[in-house]
Amino acid sequence: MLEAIGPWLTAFFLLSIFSFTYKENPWFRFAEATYLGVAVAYSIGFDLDWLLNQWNTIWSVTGTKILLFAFALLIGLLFYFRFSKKYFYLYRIPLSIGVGTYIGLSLRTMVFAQFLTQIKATFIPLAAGTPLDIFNNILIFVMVVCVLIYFYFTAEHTGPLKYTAKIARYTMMAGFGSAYGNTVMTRMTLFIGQARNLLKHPPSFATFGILILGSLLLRDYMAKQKQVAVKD
Amino acid sequence: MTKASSEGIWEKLQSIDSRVIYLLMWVVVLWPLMSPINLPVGVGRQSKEYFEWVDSIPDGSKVVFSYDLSFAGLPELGPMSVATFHHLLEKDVKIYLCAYWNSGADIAQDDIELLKPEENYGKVYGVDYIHMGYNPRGETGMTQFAADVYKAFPNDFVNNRPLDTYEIMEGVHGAEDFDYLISIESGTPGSPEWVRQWIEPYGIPFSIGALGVSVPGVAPYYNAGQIKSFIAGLRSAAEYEMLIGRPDVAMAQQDPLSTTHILVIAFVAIGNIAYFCTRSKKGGGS
Repeated sequence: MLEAIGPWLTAFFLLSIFSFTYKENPWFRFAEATYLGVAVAYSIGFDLDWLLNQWNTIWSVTGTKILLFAFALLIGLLFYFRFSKKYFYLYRIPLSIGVGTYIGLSLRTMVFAQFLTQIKATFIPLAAGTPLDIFNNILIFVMVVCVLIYFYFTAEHTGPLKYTAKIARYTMMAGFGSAYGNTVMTRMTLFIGQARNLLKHPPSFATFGILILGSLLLRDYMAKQKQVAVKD
Repeated sequence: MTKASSEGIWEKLQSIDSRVIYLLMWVVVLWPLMSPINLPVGVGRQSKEYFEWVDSIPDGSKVVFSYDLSFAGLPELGPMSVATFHHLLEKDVKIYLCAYWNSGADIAQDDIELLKPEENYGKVYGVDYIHMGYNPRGETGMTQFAADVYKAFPNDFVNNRPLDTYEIMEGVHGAEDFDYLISIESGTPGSPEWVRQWIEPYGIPFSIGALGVSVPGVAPYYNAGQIKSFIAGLRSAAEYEMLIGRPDVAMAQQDPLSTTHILVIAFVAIGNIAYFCTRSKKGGGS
């Protein structure tokens, strides 16, 4: 039963969401609201399942652990004071614990993982390997130095700095271009993947395609007729 | 053609109704999907590196394979995850599936059902591979996994049984007991978090499959050697499918990928030509 309904639901919601490309409309709003509800419920379901597993396997085994678990849950519940003007400050307790833990854990290795190692990676031999390697290494060296200088705002970009700023601008433009190209590929892939899903079941694709597009065109036509009638 | 009419064309080209573009997009996607053109697909350096990296994992290694992806990313990342899982299953390695995105746990389960490791590869669940499930705590969860896998994933996803009751978990406690890490990822948590919590402290060789849009973010880690190899985007997935000798979904989508790109390039070119033509006529611009 579910296997028979599945392709119809897929086609309906996909085309309802795609109908936004025509214009904002009730099909889209319905699909959007349904998606949000399902996505939130899905996340909560998974999170609660994980919490239950934690309780069953780790925290329910001794009295001390049960107390610790209850304490953590109580702290977590303080998040709901976000909705109270009077006790809003209580909401900051779990928030600060979360933020503090996260920052502490990230900073532990961030300096090495995302700062020193990245700097070290630019210390490259300018004359080693194949001619292409040499060219690449020189390119990396020049571009890194120029972009760093570009963001040095104490001195105005005049004299020699004018040229480094120009190279830096071209470097960043190349980066943005590459990012844009990759973004296009990703977005197109998402579209192609969903189009492929629709083609797996042509009856549902055709039915909802005609129904949704037809209703939008009809609505536009009727709105225009109404405008003409008002003018007359 | 008069000056007035030519100006009209360029201005019109700069303000084409977006619905026309969307309609053309449908045409260039549906047409090659319904009647494939079979445009040639070459293999790039990155896909080759990723293939060689996975292929060179020695027998008996313990490989963590993390599904850090969402359903929305499936068209691009789904083929990568299936191909990588297939490649790993063909080898004599222990595979530990996990997820830091909730949908990742379901996608991993789907891949198991699709590839059928017992029937097609002679593998045994709990001995050769295991699905450890989902951890909702992101980077903190990765730290927890590194310190104690049984706290991060108390029960497995398939049977909801305590993880330590499986043979594959013998002698496994934390990050130090694993040899390789692969993540197929949509975003955060993803490679920066893995690098901070697993690669930098434990030095575990790490490769990823990412969305095409993530390439500029991933490249610095690759250049620094923190990521050993990576594939990104549907094109890389298709190349990887070719390399493992199992052309599948990604390969089937290469034709529309090319036609849509041709269309985008054409529109970018038309837009720019129209812009420069109208600018020179108006005498403006810098």
